[in-house]
Amino acid sequence: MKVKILLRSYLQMFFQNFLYLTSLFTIIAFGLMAGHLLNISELKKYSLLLISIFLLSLLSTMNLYYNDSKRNIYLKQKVNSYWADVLSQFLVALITNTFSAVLIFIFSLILNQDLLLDVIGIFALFSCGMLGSAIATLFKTQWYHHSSLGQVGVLVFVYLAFSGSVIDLLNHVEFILPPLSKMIMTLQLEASITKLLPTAIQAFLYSIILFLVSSFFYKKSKNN
Amino acid sequence: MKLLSVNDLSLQNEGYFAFKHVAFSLAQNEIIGIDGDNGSGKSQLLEAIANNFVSDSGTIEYTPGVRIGYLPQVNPEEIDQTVASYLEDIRQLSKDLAVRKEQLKGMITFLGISPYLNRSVRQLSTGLKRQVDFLAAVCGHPNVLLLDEPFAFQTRESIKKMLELINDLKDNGAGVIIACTEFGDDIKKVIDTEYCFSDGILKKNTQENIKQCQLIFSVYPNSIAITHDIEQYMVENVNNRIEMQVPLRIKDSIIKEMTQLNYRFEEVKNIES
Repeated sequence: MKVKILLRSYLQMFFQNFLYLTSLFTIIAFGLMAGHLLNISELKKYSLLLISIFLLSLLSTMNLYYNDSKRNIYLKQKVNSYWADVLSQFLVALITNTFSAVLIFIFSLILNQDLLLDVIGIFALFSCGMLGSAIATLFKTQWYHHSSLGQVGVLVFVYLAFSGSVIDLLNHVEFILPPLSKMIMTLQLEASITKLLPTAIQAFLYSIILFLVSSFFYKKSKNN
Repeated sequence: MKLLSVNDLSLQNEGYFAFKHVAFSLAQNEIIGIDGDNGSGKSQLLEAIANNFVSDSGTIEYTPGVRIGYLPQVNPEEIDQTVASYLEDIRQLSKDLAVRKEQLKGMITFLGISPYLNRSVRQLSTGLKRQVDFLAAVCGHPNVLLLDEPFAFQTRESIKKMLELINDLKDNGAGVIIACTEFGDDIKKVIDTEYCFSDGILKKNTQENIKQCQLIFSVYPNSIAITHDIEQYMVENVNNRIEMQVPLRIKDSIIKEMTQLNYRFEEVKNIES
């Protein structure tokens, strides 16, 4: 019941806010038109869609936590369960990123009869979305107690997500960096969406770890 | 039995004291009233007791098993659910400890919000929303009920009904804290202990610091001699103008009696002694 109440509230906030749906349909429109307008290959378009869904879920999840900090304080007091709250936030990320990934992939016109390509294509988009949501969750303190720390944290993580595989200096520590740029580089080198599977799994696991770290970190700070 | 004790509690906001050195306790079957001007620290104190933020110094001791029901001054939540399903969800949060489903139905009927059960909460007027929030605070059957300006936007009839529900809860062993800018006579009747917040300091309302008011009447040619029980409040009687200083709680009855004696009521001024 606790999770149901919180999940309903979060989904309502997520989908009723103009930011998420407007951005999602902008990305869908880009997916439909990019090939014709910019004359780019499907792989380049897909790389741009990966970056777009990452930014979409990062901004939408940050916006969710902002609205949550403003509106849900008394609801959370009634629910009075930290873990129900954490689980609801994770479920929101799963639901919204699945929704975004499926829609973006279908309307990107990359969809074809090769089922494996379709599934991996959607999964890779979903993983990038989860990565964005996980970074926003890790630094949600920007809307609660430490606004500067949260903002700087998001900036650093987004920079590392984009630069991990691009800057040689970071090659040695690439495995601890958000693997977004690794996915883009893999796609450019391997020239196949199906080859993205290992990196997409890595991105998904990375986001799960970030969710776990943030849940225990905020549990600790709540106790303090 | 004590439900909670507030010990030397202080809170600062950006260098200003919201409240300082607050100390009191709430027992079972007790209703505490806290009044005070806007910004005097009432809401911040209730927020601290409801555990929404941590105070700078002092402690709040909760007796084990305490469950808090809280009606905040403003609820920023936007609820798309219908009144019926929202209240049922909130009731179910307290599981077996909550009021029974039929009891909740009874409370809804008693407060007169049955016609709005199928309307979404966000569509309701401010006064009705407040009643729904009040029921949401009460339906978990809390043993500590914190009410911040519960009677704002309410008719006299609604206030009476809310007070009956509050009294019911008190008779069932709960402790209640009501914070209001000013208590009317109806509300004062149910309050067991009254405190006044002034500049962040909480004082028990005793005879010495009860708010008083100054009443001014003019004398008609047909005015009848003032009775002995009213005369004690008279401070001046010059040029057909009578000035009285009376406790705020009996203001209305004095005005009524003076009008019956054919004096014209001119004005009232609040005095804090």
